[in-house]
Amino acid sequence: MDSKHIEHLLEKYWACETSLEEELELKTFFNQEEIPDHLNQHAPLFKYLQKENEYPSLDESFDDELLKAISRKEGKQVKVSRWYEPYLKLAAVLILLIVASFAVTTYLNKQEMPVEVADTYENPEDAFEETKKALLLISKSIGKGRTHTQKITVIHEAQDKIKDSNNTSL
Amino acid sequence: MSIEEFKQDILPQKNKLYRFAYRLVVDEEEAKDIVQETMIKAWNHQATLDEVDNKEAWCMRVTKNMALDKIKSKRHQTTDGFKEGFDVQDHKEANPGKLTELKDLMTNIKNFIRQLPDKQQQVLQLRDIEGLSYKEIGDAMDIDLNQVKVNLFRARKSLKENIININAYGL
Repeated sequence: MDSKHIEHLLEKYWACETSLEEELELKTFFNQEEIPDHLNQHAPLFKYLQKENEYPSLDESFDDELLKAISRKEGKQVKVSRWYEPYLKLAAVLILLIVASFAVTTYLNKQEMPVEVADTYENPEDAFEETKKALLLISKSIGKGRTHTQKITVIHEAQDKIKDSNNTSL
Repeated sequence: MSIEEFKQDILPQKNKLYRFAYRLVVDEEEAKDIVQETMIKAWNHQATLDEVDNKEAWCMRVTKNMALDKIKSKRHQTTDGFKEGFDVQDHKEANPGKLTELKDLMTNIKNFIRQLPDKQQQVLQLRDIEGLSYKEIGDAMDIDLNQVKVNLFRARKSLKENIININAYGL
């Protein structure tokens, strides 16, 4: 491999400008047998980085242990869900029955309900009287408000008169 | 997630997670337990994991947090696993004197990296040993891209200075 190219890659490496591929290229270069003398000082670093990538490692027995642990967990979960399942179904059916019976009785009660209960008057005269009462109540309240405002107007008028008399005396 | 998907997506990360955990807790058995717990957590949180873009980074983050919890809960005494990992027999053809020198230099680098601040160590490990992208490192460590780059730059800068010093003054 061209040592100029490696020198260039090294410069980029120290400046953190190398890509992962270029870093791999450096590792491969420095892990070969023959390295030019002027580049040899960098070899231990890349040899170390390569070595560390292989150590330590986990063997197949780790996979077996882990998968066993997972399947044991899964087995337990399945058992629990089987134990719950019929009770959950029963509860769901009961809730459904209660809701349905409540809905049916409410519907039947509504049908039996007399029409008079409805919130209106069958006789137009009664309705008129009731409306009149309501309107009178409102007008009474408005009337009250007016008497109060009239009082305020009297005060205003008095104030104006005083002001006028002051102005004329000045 | 079916068991087949688990075997395909999660299980192959075991060694990457194991090395990451090992370098944090410096204990093979403990690191193995952490990886197992991480994977069981991944299996139990399938719904969460299905929404995650990068499952590998998620697992790395869980591993890191578990390892840090273990470190917090117990004072760890650093043992040297490097001697077992560095197999001298691999280089039978090399000159024995040269080999010892190389081994010493590598041990020096290892010790030097261990003295770096935690974040720099972790970023350097994830990038230069595990070959993760900057984004993956950020996701795994819960830090932004800028912090990843800054920490990596500082770690490499220190490493470079160390190499230059060894070359100039010897070990």
